[in-house]
Amino acid sequence: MDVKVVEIGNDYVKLIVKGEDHTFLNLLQHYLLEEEGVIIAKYNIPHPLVGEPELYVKTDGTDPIEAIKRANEKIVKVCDELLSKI
Amino acid sequence: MEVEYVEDREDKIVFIIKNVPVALVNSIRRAIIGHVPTMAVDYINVYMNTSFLYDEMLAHRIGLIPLKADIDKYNFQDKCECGGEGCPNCQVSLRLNVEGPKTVYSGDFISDDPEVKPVYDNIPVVELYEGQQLMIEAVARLGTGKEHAKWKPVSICSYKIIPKIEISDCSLCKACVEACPRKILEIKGEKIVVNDILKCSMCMECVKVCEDNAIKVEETDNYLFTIESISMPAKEVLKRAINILKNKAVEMNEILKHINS
Ligand code: SF4
Ligand code: SF4
Ligand SMILES: [Zn+2]
Repeated sequence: MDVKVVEIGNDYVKLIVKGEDHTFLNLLQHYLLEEEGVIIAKYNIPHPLVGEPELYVKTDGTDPIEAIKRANEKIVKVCDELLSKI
Repeated sequence: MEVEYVEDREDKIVFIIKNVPVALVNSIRRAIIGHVPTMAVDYINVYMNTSFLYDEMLAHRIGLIPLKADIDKYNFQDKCECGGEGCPNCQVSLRLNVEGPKTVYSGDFISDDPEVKPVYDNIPVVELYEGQQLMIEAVARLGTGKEHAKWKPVSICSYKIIPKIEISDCSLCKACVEACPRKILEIKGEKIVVNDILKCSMCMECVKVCEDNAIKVEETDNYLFTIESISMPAKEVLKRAINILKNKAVEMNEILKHINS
């Protein structure tokens, strides 16, 4: 994984998440949308083989990077919970 | 979140997972199919092949033989110290030196690492006749299903929604009982009962034939997940897939720390 910032502002961020695909990004998008303050969370894969996925997050003013961090922490928590149950 | 096993064998697990988002279940499925590494033959060196099969055909057949291996012992070739050239830390050679008449089986390969060997010894590779000979070195390495299906750790990996079927104001016309292709609906007394909800495929045939709109089939957040593994226990495949997802999230947060907003 490699993350590059394309655009960033107070309430939005556009990242390129190199080397990822639907497997992780769809999960991240789901938990981002659950996050309070997130208005738009969307990823786009321009080409399935050579494309570098873009992730766009728009919030109502809360720090978008912090929102992504919180969503990732939620993924870690859910994974840990699931691991303890199998 | 609840997990409940319906079937629990070493090579196959079927479990119900309750109250989770579909994104998580689908990501686990994708991680199992595409991201859990296994060992498979990458390429073969053919020193002698007088069999009826072309070298390419042999390569294809040998590539698809599932290999058992301790995958934590090996590195991915592109992340290995050797820089992708191939060394004992990232690849294993399996040698085949046979002469006909004989049917060559997967068990005839002699591996450099005795722990890396075909899962089954009785997979036929090619039939050799009198005077035919094979001298092959097959080189196996770690890979993922994203690259080629031969690196998939599972044969079956799927999930389906366990629906909720609600029946109200039913006139007991029996149309749905006959229409259901899985035969899971039944009349018991004055009611339609669902016998085995796990079998329901959500085909909506029962809803279509019901003229009173009495039956409803609804999606829920419960899923029936089936994993049938090949070269390692099914539970281990599942655990590895969840860990892969988790590590991706951890890794991304690590990177985001260095991005100041
Ligand atoms: S949705 Fe299909 S399988 Fe399920 S109960 Fe109705 S007819 Fe049967
Ligand atoms: S088709 Fe509708 S009305 Fe007829 S038995 Fe089934 S649920 Fe009842
Ligand atoms: Zn190496």
